[in-house]
Amino acid sequence: MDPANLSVQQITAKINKKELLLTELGAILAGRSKYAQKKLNLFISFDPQLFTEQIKKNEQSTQVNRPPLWGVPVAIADNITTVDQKTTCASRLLAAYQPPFEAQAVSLLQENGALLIGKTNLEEFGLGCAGNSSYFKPVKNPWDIKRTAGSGAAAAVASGLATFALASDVRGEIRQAASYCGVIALKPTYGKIPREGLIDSASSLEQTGILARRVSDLAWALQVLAVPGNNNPPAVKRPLYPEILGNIPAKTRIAVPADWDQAPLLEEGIKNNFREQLNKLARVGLEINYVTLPHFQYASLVATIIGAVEAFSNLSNLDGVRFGYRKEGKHLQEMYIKTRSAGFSSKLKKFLTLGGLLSTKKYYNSHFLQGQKMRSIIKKELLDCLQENELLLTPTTPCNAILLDSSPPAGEELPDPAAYYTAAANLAGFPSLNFPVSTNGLPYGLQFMAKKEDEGVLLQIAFLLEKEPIKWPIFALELQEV
Amino acid sequence: MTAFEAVIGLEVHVELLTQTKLFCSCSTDFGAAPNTQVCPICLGLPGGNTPRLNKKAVAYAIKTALALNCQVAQEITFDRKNYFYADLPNGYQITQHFHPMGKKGFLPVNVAEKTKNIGIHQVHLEEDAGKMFHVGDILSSPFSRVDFNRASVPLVEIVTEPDLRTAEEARLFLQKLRNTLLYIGISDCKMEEGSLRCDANISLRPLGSKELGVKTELKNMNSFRAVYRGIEYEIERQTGILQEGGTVIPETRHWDEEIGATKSMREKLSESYRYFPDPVLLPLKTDTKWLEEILYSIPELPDSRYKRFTEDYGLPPYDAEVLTSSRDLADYYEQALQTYPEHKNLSNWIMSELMGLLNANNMEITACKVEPPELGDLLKLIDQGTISGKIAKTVFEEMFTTGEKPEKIIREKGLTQISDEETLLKIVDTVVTAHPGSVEDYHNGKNKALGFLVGQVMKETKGQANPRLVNKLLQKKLSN
Amino acid sequence: MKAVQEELKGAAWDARIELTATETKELLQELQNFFKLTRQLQKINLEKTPATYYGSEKTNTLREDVVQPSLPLDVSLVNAPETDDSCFLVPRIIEE
Ligand SMILES: [Zn+2]
Repeated sequence: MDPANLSVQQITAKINKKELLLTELGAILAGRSKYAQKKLNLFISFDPQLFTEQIKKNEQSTQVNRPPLWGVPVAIADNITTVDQKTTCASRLLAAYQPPFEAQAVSLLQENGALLIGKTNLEEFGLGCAGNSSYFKPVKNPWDIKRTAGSGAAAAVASGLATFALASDVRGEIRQAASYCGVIALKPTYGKIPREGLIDSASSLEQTGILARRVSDLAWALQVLAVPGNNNPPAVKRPLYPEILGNIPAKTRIAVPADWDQAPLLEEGIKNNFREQLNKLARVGLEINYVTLPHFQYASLVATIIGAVEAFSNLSNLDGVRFGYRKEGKHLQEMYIKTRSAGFSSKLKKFLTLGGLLSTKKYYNSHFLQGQKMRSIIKKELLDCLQENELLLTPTTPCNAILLDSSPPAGEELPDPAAYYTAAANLAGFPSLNFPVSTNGLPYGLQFMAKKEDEGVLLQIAFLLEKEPIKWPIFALELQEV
Repeated sequence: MTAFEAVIGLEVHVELLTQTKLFCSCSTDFGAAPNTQVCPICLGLPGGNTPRLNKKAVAYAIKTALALNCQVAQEITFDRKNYFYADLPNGYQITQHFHPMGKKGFLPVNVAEKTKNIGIHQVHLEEDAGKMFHVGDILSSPFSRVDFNRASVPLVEIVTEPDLRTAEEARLFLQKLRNTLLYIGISDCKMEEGSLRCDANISLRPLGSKELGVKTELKNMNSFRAVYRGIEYEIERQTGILQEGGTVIPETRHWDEEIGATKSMREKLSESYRYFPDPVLLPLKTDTKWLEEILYSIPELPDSRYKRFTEDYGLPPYDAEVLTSSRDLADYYEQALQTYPEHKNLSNWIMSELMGLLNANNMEITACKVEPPELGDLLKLIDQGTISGKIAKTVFEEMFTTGEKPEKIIREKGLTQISDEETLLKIVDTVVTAHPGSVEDYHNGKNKALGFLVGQVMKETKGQANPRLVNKLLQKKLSN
Repeated sequence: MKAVQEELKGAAWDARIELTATETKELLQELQNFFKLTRQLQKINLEKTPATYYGSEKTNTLREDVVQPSLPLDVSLVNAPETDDSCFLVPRIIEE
């Protein structure tokens, strides 16, 4: 078996039995990463030497009780801080930024024996998946390099460079990228994974999530990461996620919005495939209930309003004073304008201007406040639905990964059509999971949503559907030859 | 000519006496080297957006709201005030815009022998900004240096209703407010160090009118005197404009202490502040038990103490006013009362001797080396006739300098009063013999001569003789 | 749209951003669909609906007032574009 496609448990077992040497695994991954980087541009920081040093440290450790992620290669999106590698958020403004502190999630992974393979490329400040805003150029999709991958984290997991990856989700980014790259992704309940060290652009929506190829790997990652943060009261009770995967409740009810096929830009292929998937689920004995969620259609719009206003404020610290890029000006205000105009991508400049507009007195009540009220309605509808059903199911994205050089450029629409199905979970703070399926040789995903703290049932449904190992993109097979 | 009335409201910022900042555990110590009390949170570093609310700061803000008779918010929430400035790390200040900690309070102030309740519009908790150093003055400085040690230090802002009418009222209010805040111990309220800052909104309207005129905001008043003079100046300036038929420009003006005038800030950008609820700082319910604890921690406030001092101790209003003007002074007085329960006599001593020395040495009562019970002991010694009042003053000066107990000073310096008749009689004899002229004068009805002779006895005894006894003995001797 | 264009200019200034002519044109274009949808949103009566500003229903927690070490000075200054030996430097404040 390809050593890069071992599960968390297999890696640990093989290392313990000395059937696998970390150095051997490391060498394979380092070689492939170099190749993949050239082809896909999925990393912003990849330092083979740092990677080798971590492996050495693990190899020399005499620790008897090895933690669960021992020797597991993981990738970290570059908007999560690391102390030994810069953290850029794919922005010119932070292109050389070296944080003086490490994200709590990253520390947890390292304490549990994981190896950080690199910092992955993303849209600037983690907003969107269209491949149109990274200062370091877009990430190419391992299934088709003419298309966006959504994020380097998704591309790295899909290509087998990392067993799992951490990335953030503002309006559905990790689920969309997973949908585009054919991997599993979980956006947990808001606050479930500590937010310390996440460079968030929209704090009330954004949450660190996990991408993986296997449900069990994702379960192990969640087990390690779902701890109370510094600012969170201790979690009530944490299930042992890896152990409950097979125990899906006998009568699992799945709600599907009756008008799921009304999404703008929904592709015919996905429409047909999703219908087939619904039939399949019914055949394995799951109860499918069609429900009405009258305001679900506003989720992406509302998340755009709230996201723009929060980003306008959150990203105001990028002012060329204490860190990051500065473009000189004759006086303070000119320096701000020059720095930020040259530092942000066009997409972010427009988005932050929108946030500025929607928070002015004139628009505050009619847009921002109205949006926050609509958020309450959407949340209530979801909650009511998820009290009657264990899960809510939709496609994750209305289309396959979009072409990088499409004309007119895609992904600039307001609101983003790609977030049509995903944004509601961010508004409500609910957990949501992408399970990959495919159509026309390209992946897309089924999106499940559950009540707060119900990650368990999301993992269980994914485990049930995970009949066969996930399909590899052609590129991953190509990599195995490297 | 139209008579105008000034309408004045104050915005007072006080720095809280907490060890750490509002949202992080950096020290708030004053005077540390620049940028040595900063962390990812208060420096606004990417990924540092994880504010952790300081319990004591919240408690102090609630305490302030309660002491100013406000309704306390049932839920504590924070909002962002978004604007760009070099001393603001995040591009927004965290404050309480939508739901302040306290609302609808008041503070009674004595104005011209009458008590006037000044409305408190709101009391809220917010974070301070950093500090900028300019090369020369701000106008000509080619660049500025920024220190973020003060960034995110907790502040309480107190906003009054526009209930003040004169500069004197504003000054009296501010003094009363400072006194109250010192009583509850939430701030050291030092205007010179900037731990108490006061801005004023001032407008004029024709006397009798209910409408508000155009207001100016007055900043940079760094002392009580400056608050008084600044407001006085601004009222005069606006009166001048209005009387000439002009209109007041709504603007921010700076008080310039040196030239004794207010100056327009000539702000070029009209900044539109944006406020919205901070999405990171979740609301926090104020539980009743905690509120009660805070309420119990509020000591007796100046008004009620004043009432007690006049009614229970029978002190004149002036004494009560002076003694309750600071919590430390009033505490001192009441502690000394424990050993010396002569209310008025003690009050006299504190107000003249003690405060005289404090003023002369530019000291606060808290730095005084004389413990309150020792002052009581000293006064008891006078009453018992052990020392004279005059000697007592010398002893007190010694106590003030060295912190020694009065008995020890009296013993070591041999200052005990001589009240032994036999001893004194001998000296009286010597003096009478030595000054036959004065004796003759006395017998000729010149009473002044007796005073001279008493003085001579005192001189012989280095002031230790009991003057009343000397008087008696001399009269007896001379009438023989 | 002319009015919106003026408002965008103000909003961009408040964000300390200068949009290029192309960016302004693109944003105005993108806003057409956006405002069509927000007009629909505004028609929904939400007068009695409370707003949800937060991602969690949990309440904030309080921290004891105990000092923890701050960053060393060199670490605080290391990422800054311009400093002297103790402070961050910014261009002149006054504009003329
Ligand atoms: Zn700090």
